[in-house]
Amino acid sequence: MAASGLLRSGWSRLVSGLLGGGWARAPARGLREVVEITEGNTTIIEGKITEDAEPPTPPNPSGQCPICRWNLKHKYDYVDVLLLSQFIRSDGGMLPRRITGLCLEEHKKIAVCVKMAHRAGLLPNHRPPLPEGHVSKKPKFNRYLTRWSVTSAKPIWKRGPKWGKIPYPVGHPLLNDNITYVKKPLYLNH
Amino acid sequence: MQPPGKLAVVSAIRLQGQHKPIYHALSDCGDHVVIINTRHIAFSGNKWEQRVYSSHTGYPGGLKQVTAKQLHLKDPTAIVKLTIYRALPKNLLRRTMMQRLHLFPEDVIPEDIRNNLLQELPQPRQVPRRLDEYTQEEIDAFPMLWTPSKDYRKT
Amino acid sequence: MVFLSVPCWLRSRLTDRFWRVQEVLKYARHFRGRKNRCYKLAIRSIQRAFVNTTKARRLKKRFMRKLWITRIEAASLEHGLRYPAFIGSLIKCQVELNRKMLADLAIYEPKTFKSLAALAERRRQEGFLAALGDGKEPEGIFSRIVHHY
Repeated sequence: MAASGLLRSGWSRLVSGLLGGGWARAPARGLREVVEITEGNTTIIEGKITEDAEPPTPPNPSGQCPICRWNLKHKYDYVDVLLLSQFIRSDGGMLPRRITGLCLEEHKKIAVCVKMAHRAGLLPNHRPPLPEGHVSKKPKFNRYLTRWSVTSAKPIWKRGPKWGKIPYPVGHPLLNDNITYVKKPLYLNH
Repeated sequence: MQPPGKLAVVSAIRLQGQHKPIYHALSDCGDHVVIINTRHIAFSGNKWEQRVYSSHTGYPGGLKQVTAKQLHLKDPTAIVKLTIYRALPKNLLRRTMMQRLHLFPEDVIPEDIRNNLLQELPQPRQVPRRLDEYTQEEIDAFPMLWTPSKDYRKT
Repeated sequence: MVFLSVPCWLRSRLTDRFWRVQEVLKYARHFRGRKNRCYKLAIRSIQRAFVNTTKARRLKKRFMRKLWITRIEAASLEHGLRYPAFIGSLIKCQVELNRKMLADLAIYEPKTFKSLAALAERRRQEGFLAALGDGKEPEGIFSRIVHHY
């Protein structure tokens, strides 16, 4: 049956991943395509295993995690939604590290970027499903580089004297090492 | 989707006339500036919740404090107006320069102003594209960074 | 007969003190209020005014330079060049016009200024080419890197 490939247990995948074959192997996804061939009176219905296209080879295949393999360390931000969308589920949550194979540092950074992208409204289709016919009454405010969640941030009623103002946090310190191509330093506090 | 501070930097130069070679602080040679869609400004960080605009009525206990969110819901042009007012030099010409500023919450503007528009200024902030604004070719051209295992199904 | 006119004249004559006061007050005639006629008030204001004048002689130079820079910046932005890039490129081209003259050119001779901006832009592009490319000098007179000591 076609499902035998689908239902392979997670344990074997974990073992194969530990054995080192998991990273560079071509994806045999086990997806089957129904092909109908009619020759005279006989009709052959066949489930062919579709071969995915060969994935492009990364520039640094010896890297430990996908980000290192593609030389993308310190080179992505919350605006790179094409990259971020590969590491999230359809409801917007992060995929676990044992599936994506990210190292802990990059996983945290991507989680931060995903949060900021969500708050900036850059991933509009990756939201948890709402009940049918639900219309949000809350007004939408455009925001970007939002570090804290919208509900948890509280107003700063007194910013303090001119020489010691309480800063507004902008961006995230995890992304402090990102490569910039201008001399202007990155300000995390406004 | 533009931050009000960057809008203020651009428009304060125009209002003072610092974009003209004949600029002098006393000659009052500024231009008119029209800003539309002020309802759709963007703040970085959590400033919608954290930033507070304060005023005092002059009476005892008359300190009024509203967050940026509340002020924006009350008057969609107020934040941009205040920011530009604070960005201008603090002199007697400030009110004159503010009179040359025209703010509109949406892109509906009076006909006489629309007919007199001369130049469109570039947007100070480059607005990032949402994921649904990418075309399918661009999404396909981006390589899959990690290799899904055999039984991985996209949820 | 008593001659009173001479002692009266002697008592009421305009003394040296009067003229000394007038010497001081003449610098205060345009002041506002009693400062322009009462010596005691005027002398304080005049002293401050002279100190301010002395300071302002130096400040004026700074203000003028700031004004020129603002004007040059405005004019060079019209040609799509920021001020630091414009001035830096002109210095590398050994155009030794000072900021006062550049500001005057920007106002009274916009075409001259435009050609200066084009020169700066060309020099800038050549700098980029030399930095990014193989370091070879491209064709043209402006690419000649002249060292001045």
